Amino acid sequence: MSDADAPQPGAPPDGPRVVSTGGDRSDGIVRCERCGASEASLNVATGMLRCGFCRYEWRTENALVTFDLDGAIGELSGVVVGSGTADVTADPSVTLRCTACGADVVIDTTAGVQARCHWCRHTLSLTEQVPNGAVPDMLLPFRVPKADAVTRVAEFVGKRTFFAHPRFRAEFTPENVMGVYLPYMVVDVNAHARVAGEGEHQTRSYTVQVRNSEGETRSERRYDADVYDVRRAFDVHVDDLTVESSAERLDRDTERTSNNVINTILPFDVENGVRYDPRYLQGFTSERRDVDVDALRGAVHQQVGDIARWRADETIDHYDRGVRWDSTDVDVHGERWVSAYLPVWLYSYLEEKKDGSTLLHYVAVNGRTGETMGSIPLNKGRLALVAGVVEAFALVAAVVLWVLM
Amino acid sequence: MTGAVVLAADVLASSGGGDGSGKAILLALLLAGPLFYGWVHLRYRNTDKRHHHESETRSQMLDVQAQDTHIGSRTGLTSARMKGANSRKVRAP
Repeated sequence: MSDADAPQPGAPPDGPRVVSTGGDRSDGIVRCERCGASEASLNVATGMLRCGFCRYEWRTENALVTFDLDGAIGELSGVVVGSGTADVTADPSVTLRCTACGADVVIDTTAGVQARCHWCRHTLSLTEQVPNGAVPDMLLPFRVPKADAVTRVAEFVGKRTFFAHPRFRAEFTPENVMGVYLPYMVVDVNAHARVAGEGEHQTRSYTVQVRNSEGETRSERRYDADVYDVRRAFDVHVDDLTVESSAERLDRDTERTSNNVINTILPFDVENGVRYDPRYLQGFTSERRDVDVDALRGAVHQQVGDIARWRADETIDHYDRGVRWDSTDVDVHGERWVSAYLPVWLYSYLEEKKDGSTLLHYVAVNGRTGETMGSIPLNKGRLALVAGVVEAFALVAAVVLWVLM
Repeated sequence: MTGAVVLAADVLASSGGGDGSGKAILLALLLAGPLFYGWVHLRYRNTDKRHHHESETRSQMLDVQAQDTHIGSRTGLTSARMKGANSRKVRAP
């Protein structure tokens, strides 16, 4: 265990082990290593930061390797957290002092983590980890360029235009896609799982003649099976389980939101995440984390149970008729939490319904893999009309079939 | 609407060959309108889509201990699949 991994002073003995990912950087001007300019941004083509003045490019360290957050999962014990996962307690507004001219500049971290000094025009960045959820442990830079995202959104919507709402079709402008860093927790879990239930193995299959109430006979298949009590116990190591850490994104009620399409474009190659640097956010927007580790732990453990059952499926080939699991128990021995900003291209459209309610539709593109998913507002009148015509033709076909049977 | 699609799919899947398949086609024709509506709804709104964390998350299974005990037999079963089988369901117990 390195010094960085040492328990924090004042932390309870059974509390989480906090790995500091903030370093010694302070807020204010973050300068180019070569020319000292304060403006740099991500070059999506190379994945490196590029100075806005001298064009010097450099790569920042891999976050998980640098902070030793990628150690063997089997050796995980207790709770290990990156310092960027601290409970959200502070005000989202932060005052930065410009180190060039001394002016105070207020940043609302719900909207971004950079601002320009209104006196000397230097770019100021929020780098220090204050517990307001705005500065994560790591960040995965965009790899899919905007032009590619625009093409993917246009193709996705282009395949779904006939039943799309007419106003959506008229207003659709794929160039309005926005690059957003969304907040997630990336979790490694070392657990022991036990699943128990009942399985059936077919021993015989045969045909019987069955007589119905009208005296007619027909052939039916019958099956015999052996029944087993099935139990599996194993260690399960879950690597980089990724969950949303924004209350808004965790709402998956499809009557209210289309957040499920953003969830669908997971997973990301989080193992390539870099140490957080606000300059990666230049030209993009970011969403502040507002959910803590404790609030997400139950959902994460439930997902570990899902993964355990899925893996247990590999061991039940003998049960060709299926297995009914009656219980799943997961004992978590160790877990490691890292907060991350992950890149998503988002096209959004607010549908205003006749009853006055609204529904925000998204088309989301994974900023690393390009996986695309979306929600398109429907022209329900047209759809109902066409479905009615389909039903009418099908009814005629059904009558013909009924006569012939 | 999504429920209607799932219900119809289940009915179609559970019907066997011979006379059963004719009834399944008849049922599909009777439900063609709602099925079409549901299919288009899902294709446009994608309300059924989610991240498949159970299969898309990297994981390792180690030190597997299996215990299988024969507890009986069942005869004359009408379905080719075990009743209540849930090993591929994500929210099983």
